[in-house]
Amino acid sequence: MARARQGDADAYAALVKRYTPDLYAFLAARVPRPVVADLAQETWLNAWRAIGSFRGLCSFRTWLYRIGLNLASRELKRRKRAAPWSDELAHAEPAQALASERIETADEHQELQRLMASLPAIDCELIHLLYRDQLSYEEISHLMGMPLGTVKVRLHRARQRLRAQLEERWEAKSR
Amino acid sequence: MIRPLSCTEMDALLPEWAEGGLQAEARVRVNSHVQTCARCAAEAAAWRRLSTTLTTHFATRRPPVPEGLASQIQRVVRLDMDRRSIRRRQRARIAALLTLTATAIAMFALWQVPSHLSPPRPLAPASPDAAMAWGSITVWALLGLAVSYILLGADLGGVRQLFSHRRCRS
Repeated sequence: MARARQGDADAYAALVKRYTPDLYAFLAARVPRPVVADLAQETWLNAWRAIGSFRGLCSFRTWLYRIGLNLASRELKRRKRAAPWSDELAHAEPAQALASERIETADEHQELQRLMASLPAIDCELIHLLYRDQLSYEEISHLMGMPLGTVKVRLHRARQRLRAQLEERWEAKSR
Repeated sequence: MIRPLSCTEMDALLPEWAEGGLQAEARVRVNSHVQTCARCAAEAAAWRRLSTTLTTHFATRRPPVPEGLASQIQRVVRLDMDRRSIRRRQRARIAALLTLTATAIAMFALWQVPSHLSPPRPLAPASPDAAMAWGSITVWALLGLAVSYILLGADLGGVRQLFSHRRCRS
């Protein structure tokens, strides 16, 4: 990271290789699939141009996602769409389920997706950041510009709600 | 001696524990409580199940990254690095060239001023010719500065292309 900040092209290339799959998944949930690769490329370019200003106050991944998030918001505004977290599940193309998945599992996924869509938009976004993007609480707090305590409370509430609804279904299935 | 956790405290810690997000010490305390309390063990299992369900859900729905995307991005970034470094060098060259030109103009103008037109002494009456000569030197100097400013700011295409062309061939 330190070498990349000093303008080392090889060090930066290593960062690109390491974080591109995560960044791609992060952006794919926010913008239509055809523009994801272009946005990922633009994110890396902008990050490179601004890497001198990265002070390490948050993780590099959070900083990179912040740039990606800004670009995704701009893209969505340009396309006259809603804000990224208000309509995320509606416009993000669902990834192809693995061929080996059983139908039952596919149903579970759909059910889970419906349950998450019923959560408040911000809570849904937090759940996605935690489980899909595998960000820590601190990283989520930095990315969303939200106090750490608020992130924890909202996540706790959202998980309790999901758990209650899922347990009902699990119990109904086991009967 | 570490104080054992109460079941109420466990309720707040278990969701984070299920994701492996607790500090080592807190983790040990939660683990030891789970081993001795049936109610909290059941809670822990439920939180684990939720965590696994959500993680699996997102892992199986992760979009495939287009092949060669990372390499393509690496190429584009490197190209951008090269362009920006060329641009910096061009600006430095242009600035140097302009400084040299401005100095040459100023020296030429000074050389053109005859010695008897040197600035008036404090008590001597001002000569109109001397004033005109010094005025023209000032105008030349200002003109040189203005041209430098415009060239550096607007980055005139011709000079840029000349340098870019040479750089690209190498």
